[in-house]
Amino acid sequence: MNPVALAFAAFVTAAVGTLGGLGGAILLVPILVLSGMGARYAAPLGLVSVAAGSLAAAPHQLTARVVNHRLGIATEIVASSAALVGALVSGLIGQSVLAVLLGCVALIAAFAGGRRKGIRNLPDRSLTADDVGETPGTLAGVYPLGDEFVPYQAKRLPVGLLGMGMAGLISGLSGVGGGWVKTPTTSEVMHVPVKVAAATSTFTVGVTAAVGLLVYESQGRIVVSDAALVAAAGLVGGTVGVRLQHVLPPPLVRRGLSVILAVIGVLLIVRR
Amino acid sequence: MNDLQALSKILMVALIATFACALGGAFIPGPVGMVSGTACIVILIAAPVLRVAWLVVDWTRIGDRKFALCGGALLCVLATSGTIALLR
Repeated sequence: MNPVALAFAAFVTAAVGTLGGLGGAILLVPILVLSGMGARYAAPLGLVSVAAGSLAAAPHQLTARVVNHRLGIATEIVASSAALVGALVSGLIGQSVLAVLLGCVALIAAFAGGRRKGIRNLPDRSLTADDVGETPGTLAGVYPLGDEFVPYQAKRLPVGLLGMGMAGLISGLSGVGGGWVKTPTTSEVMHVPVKVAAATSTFTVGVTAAVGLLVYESQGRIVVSDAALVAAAGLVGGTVGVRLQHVLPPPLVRRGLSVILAVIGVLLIVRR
Repeated sequence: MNDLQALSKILMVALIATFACALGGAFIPGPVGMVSGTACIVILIAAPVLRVAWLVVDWTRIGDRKFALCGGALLCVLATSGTIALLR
């Protein structure tokens, strides 16, 4: 792939990945493979894109206090442990079976997000800007929605952790990030607002990508000049994505996420 | 300025440094470009781990021990995952 096309693909996938909390790898890696790049070299570039998008989003999301770090860290323990197990047993499952499984998960997540109408968490007029952020000692918080403030509380934690474990397992088995499972799980299963879910996933996929990049770097699988180009484009894309996430209404973000997941699901099943 | 704002400023510096290193790695030929690109990757790896470590310290400081322990456990899981993966 020529450098201009590589930079453009990295920019777009990082922007979309950050906007929806998906991580760009699930989009970028298939594009690179379709363009003729070997999966061995495409996977590290996918993780560079994810890490760049996560870093680009961090300053804005921290200032806006929209990430729930307590929720992210509590669920990431399960996801990372499952990713380790998935990586260790990855040779036991055929790539074709894995692709169909991933496709089905993406389609279910798309359906769950797309069928829901309206906004689940409603603004509370008694809250002020001082209340925005996480509530210490709990998995609750308040996030800003326009001029109003919306309280939320993560629900169904055991089922949510099961979903995060599945996201980690899929991540370890397939080598792509699990953000595209984490965001719908956090939003649709744990009833966390989609913008908080996407921002929290953007934080956690950066953590997961860091470990993956460390491994790829030690294996000499990172082509530094290509990775640097993807990182530069991914940083710009991530910055654009997080700005869009801030201004777009939650139902639009959720429906857009569902459309992207549906496309990913169909691609995975058709291309197995 | 609270701790998250301070962390936000540190990550903004990291973001700018990563972008500069990435541009160097992508467009400067030879060893300088290689060093610049490698520095970019090192920052991308270090930034999220620093963020988790920062949160653990912050939560310990304010007495939120349950989640400080969660953060510590996550750092242990990450260290274990990295070590196992590197040894395989």
